[in-house]
Amino acid sequence: MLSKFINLITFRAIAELKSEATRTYAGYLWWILEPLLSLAVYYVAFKYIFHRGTGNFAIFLFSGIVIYRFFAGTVTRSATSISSGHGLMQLVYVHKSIFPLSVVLVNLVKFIVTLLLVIAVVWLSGIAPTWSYISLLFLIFLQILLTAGCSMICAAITPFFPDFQLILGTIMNLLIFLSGVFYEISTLSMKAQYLLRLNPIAAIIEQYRMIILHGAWPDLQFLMPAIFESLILLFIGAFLVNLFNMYFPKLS
Amino acid sequence: MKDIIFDLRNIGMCYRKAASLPWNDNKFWALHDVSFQVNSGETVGIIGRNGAGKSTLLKILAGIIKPDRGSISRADVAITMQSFGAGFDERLTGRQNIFLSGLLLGMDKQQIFKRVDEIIGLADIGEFIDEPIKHYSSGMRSRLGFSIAYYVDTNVILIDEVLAAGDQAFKEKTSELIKQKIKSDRTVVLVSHDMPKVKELCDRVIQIENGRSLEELSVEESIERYLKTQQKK
Repeated sequence: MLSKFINLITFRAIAELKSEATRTYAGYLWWILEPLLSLAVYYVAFKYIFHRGTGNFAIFLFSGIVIYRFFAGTVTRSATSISSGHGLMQLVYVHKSIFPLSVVLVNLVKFIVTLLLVIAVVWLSGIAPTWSYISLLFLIFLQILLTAGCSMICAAITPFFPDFQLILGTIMNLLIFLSGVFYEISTLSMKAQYLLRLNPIAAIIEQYRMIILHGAWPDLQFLMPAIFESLILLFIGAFLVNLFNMYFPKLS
Repeated sequence: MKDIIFDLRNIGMCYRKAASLPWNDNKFWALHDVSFQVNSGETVGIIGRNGAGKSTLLKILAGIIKPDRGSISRADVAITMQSFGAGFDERLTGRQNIFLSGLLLGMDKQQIFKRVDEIIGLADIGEFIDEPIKHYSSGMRSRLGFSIAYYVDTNVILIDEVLAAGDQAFKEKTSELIKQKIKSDRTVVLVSHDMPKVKELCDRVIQIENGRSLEELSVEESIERYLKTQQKK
């Protein structure tokens, strides 16, 4: 039963990746082009318009964007996944969590590729990888839990309240400013640091950078709230989708 | 004594308007009161006018939706609804879609691997099988959908014939294949508007009107009653 479930998610994700690639001329290249383009936009805005950012600002920004995009992009896409699976769920019984979870898997694959690109760029700029890179696996795992939780919550809300999808866009636009993508959290006042690190994605991004940009081991103390929140969100998400599992097909 | 596969008692089912909260009252009752049993090995026809609730009933039997009233008990056997083209992705090739749809319909990878050539053969698509299905004609698409569903083999099958498509030749071919399947010792629930076929294939007939199951009569009498209600309209 579980193996069937995993098979289905995996195959749907592979199918989606292939199918997406056939939609554009550049195909798989877009996995890298998309984050690079958004890097260009933010870089120009912050460096030349606001005159912010010093030193390796481009790499700093790029790492933040790539990590944030995995989270935000997945949650945004997942939000409509159950609604758009409406036709399919009339034809066969599937547990509705496969809709958001296959989006998570699709974006995870793209994320890993772009994260490797980030690491390569960092290396080229003169910061060699260290053993602390092993702890990236833990951070990726934690981010998957967080992303899957938020994705399932949003996917469960949209069928009842489609306007949520539009509100979510705004929330994600706001959240990027509260996630330390453009600035270093440790340079802010103590109170601001404390509050920002309660935001799980902010804490996760900060620790990713600790590893990739400084070659240091992540600081578990700053990750505790994120671990705790991710587990709670995952639980809520799984609970909601499961609760309405048989209800979604009846919404017409 | 025969095993009971489905036992439905006073089933009622309502759809909700989308974009409505669970506690709001936006209900639309598709079924009001349906009761019947299906025994192992029987072929049961479900007839009724458009919008009577036949397709909804089939979804309940398939376990896709749960009734809001009444009770249903299902024997512990594999059940498939012959859904054509479930989960097709326009941009993927026919072959890729066989896997996607096959998995959704409940086959596992090994089964699909074993049957993929037969499926392609039955669908009669030729070299197009490795083309994205957005380039297919609608006939090719429905042939592919039918062929996948056909090779999902379980002891209980649910068929919504109203949805069947394709050109005349393929219709005849599929109709023959479905007949063979039905005549084996499988348990079949068949939704159809084709009365001669119902008469030929079904052991029993359940008539649904306005979401209610009518008193069960013999196959001939049921069909007669159905044709009368059709004329009244």
